[in-house]
Amino acid sequence: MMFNKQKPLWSDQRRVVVTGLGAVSALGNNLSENWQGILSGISKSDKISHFDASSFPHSIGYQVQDFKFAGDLVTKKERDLLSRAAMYGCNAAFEALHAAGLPSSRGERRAVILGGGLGTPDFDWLSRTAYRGVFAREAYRDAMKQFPYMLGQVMNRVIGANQAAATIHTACASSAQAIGEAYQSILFDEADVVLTGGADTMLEPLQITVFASLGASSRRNDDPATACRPFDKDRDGLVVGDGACMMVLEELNHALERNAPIFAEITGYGITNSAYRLTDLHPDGLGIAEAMAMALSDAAISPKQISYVNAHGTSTLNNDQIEAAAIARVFSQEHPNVLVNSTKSLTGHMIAAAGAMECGICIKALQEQILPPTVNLFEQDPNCSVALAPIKATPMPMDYVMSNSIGFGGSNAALVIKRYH
Amino acid sequence: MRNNISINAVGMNCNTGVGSAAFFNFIDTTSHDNASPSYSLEYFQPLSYLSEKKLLKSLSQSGAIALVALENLRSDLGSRYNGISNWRRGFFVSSPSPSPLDRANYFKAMKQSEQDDGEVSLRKFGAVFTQATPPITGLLALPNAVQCFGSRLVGANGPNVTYTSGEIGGHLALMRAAANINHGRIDLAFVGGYSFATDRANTSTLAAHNLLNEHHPRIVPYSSQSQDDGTICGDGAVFMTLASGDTSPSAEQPPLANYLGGITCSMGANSDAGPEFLITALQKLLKKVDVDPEEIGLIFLNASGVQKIDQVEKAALETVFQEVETKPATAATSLVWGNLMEAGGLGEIMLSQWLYKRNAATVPGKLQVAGFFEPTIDRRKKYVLINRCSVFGDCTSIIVEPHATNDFS
Repeated sequence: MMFNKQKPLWSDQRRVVVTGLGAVSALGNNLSENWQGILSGISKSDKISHFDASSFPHSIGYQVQDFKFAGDLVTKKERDLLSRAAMYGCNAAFEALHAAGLPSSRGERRAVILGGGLGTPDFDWLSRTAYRGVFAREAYRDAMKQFPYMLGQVMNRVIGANQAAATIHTACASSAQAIGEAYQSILFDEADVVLTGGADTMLEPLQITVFASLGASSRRNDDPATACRPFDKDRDGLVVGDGACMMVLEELNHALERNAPIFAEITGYGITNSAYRLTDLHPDGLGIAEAMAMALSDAAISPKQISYVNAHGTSTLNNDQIEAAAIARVFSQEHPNVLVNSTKSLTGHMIAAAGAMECGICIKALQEQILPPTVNLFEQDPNCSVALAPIKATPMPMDYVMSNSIGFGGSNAALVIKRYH
Repeated sequence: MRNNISINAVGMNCNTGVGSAAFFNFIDTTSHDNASPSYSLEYFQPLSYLSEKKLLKSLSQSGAIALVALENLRSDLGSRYNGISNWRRGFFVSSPSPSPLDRANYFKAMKQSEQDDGEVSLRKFGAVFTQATPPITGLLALPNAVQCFGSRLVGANGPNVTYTSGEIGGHLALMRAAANINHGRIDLAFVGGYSFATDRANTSTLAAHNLLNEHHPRIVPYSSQSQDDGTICGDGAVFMTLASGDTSPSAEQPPLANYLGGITCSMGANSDAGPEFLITALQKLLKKVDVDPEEIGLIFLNASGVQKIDQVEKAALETVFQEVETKPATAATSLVWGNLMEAGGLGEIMLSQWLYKRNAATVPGKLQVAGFFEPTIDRRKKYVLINRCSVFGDCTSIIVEPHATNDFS
């Protein structure tokens, strides 16, 4: 494949480990609750309650519940600049930083690289301002909350970063790519510690309508719990979710010197672009396969060393079929029975936070040596010819796993995560 | 370690027109008046510049402005890139945060959802949206739309990034592209940024946070007068190509410049920080690329007009260049283009080469900044420093070596 290169020399000198992890989603408001939710295999999708969605073509979602903003590290001024999604991001970040024993500084190079959402405005606000032709400055104080980079700016201050905050938006691949770029920045000796991940919510009127009008959303409004069915024969679209997942990546020796907990190691990252149409995958799936091959090459491992692939698996007709074919293209010769599933049936599609959440699930899977369950599979689509993981969470020895993310616009990201011994 | 990256072609679209020639013509007029056309491209008509005209249905005005710059780059590439069809290509772009006015696609459905009291009914909106609005319009403001269509236009299917990081995004894209070339992941990088921040929703947002200069038509940088405080945004887009200096795509045509290196820094936890963080970063950058302050001939200033940031930048540069006998010349494009936000910091590379190869050694009046170092460039000093700073105190700096056909030694 075109971008498949030999393992470069620099990575022999620097290794990148995960020393902190935090999560907020429909499954729970911290990492432990989220992991227990994954193990339970119970879908938390329900009727949207954040707003009255009863007239919308898509009225279900995976909603964060009973959320309390843990704003101790954020000033009042900063809090006023945070959207709901950014507050999810803050909580997940604080949990990750706490686990990693940060933010006390040792003078190392610190950075923030995040995946940011679309920054879509609040319905009430938009219908009362720009729609009405209102441009008074007083009406626009809250508009800055929409800037996708606000969370990164606040986090930069929280961790005392000495590098500029970077926010990436490549739609559903945003936070996977952020993790990949954070991994590279440590590998390339540009940083020692990076706070990375993503936060998003699509459970807002304007966002919901976009996916619905594209025909990408499930119409199973009367059966929310089983509406998201990745790789199932009768799948009919995605179900959105909200939340955040954040992690601290750190250079290995730096982590060892300060006795930081080590959750896992990031060893490979592949990123390709297969732009075709803004909202459709290229039918040949070559770009997705190339991203996986690039990540394997970067990790200097063969496909047979991967125990589990956490697929992007949105539950849309096209994505699952094309991604399954791409997985088969990469794995069929050396490891045709590699176990695959998509945990979006448990978390919903968290869009800009999806890649980070799924990477976080992979990290926990490696740490606990438990394979996440395949949920909402009633009959596998024969056109998705991958070996799906069991329907129950299953103990299994795993050294390497892969997490795939595929974004509108053609961005394909793959991460290889290794168990840390 | 110094990079060995060549910058080989450029495309641009800003208030002075499409292409660098239009900009140079404007700058090179004899008038020393700083007057420039409006910073806005609200009424720019992209249709005649695009080879794939149907893309306009899927793009916001900002996206269309960007693709016109990319088309302009393609025409500049022309003869330089024959025979490199098998080069692995990446695409790295800095994109603006969508403006509330980019959401005008929702307004038709809102109109149909008004109740008798004039309020927009959420229930009605949910029911009529899919009928009132063509599906794709919901994604007109997708920040990576330009990456999607642009990468397709230039066949870049390798590593790609869309940064939504505000004023420093263009430099972040450039640095990421250079890292990917340095580490052998690609052979050719398309790097760009685009901005469309002059609309009333954006300016209202800046005003609400006291970041907008509401008293003047143009930026007044490095002033201490309260009525001069604040920035004025501009619209525009710049794209360029980067390749390894060892594998320059054209033996006949020299590159515009070589990229030596860049650095990012932040005020971090201390939002009341002085210039120390920027001083440290600039000194690290100079050391990293093995350039003495004495060798810097020209500095393109950030000069956004936000006084707090301007003061930090000025104090930092005065410290870093304190020991230099003949100070570098200073210039600012923000006087002409406005604050190009996500597109800023890239067009200056092309401008560096133009300033280094023209006969006059003095920075043209339209780019001169009052109250800073002198405007005369000692072009024996080979290197140019380009600064960007965000209103939140994140800064980036890069150093380039413009390729000058004249021998000034």
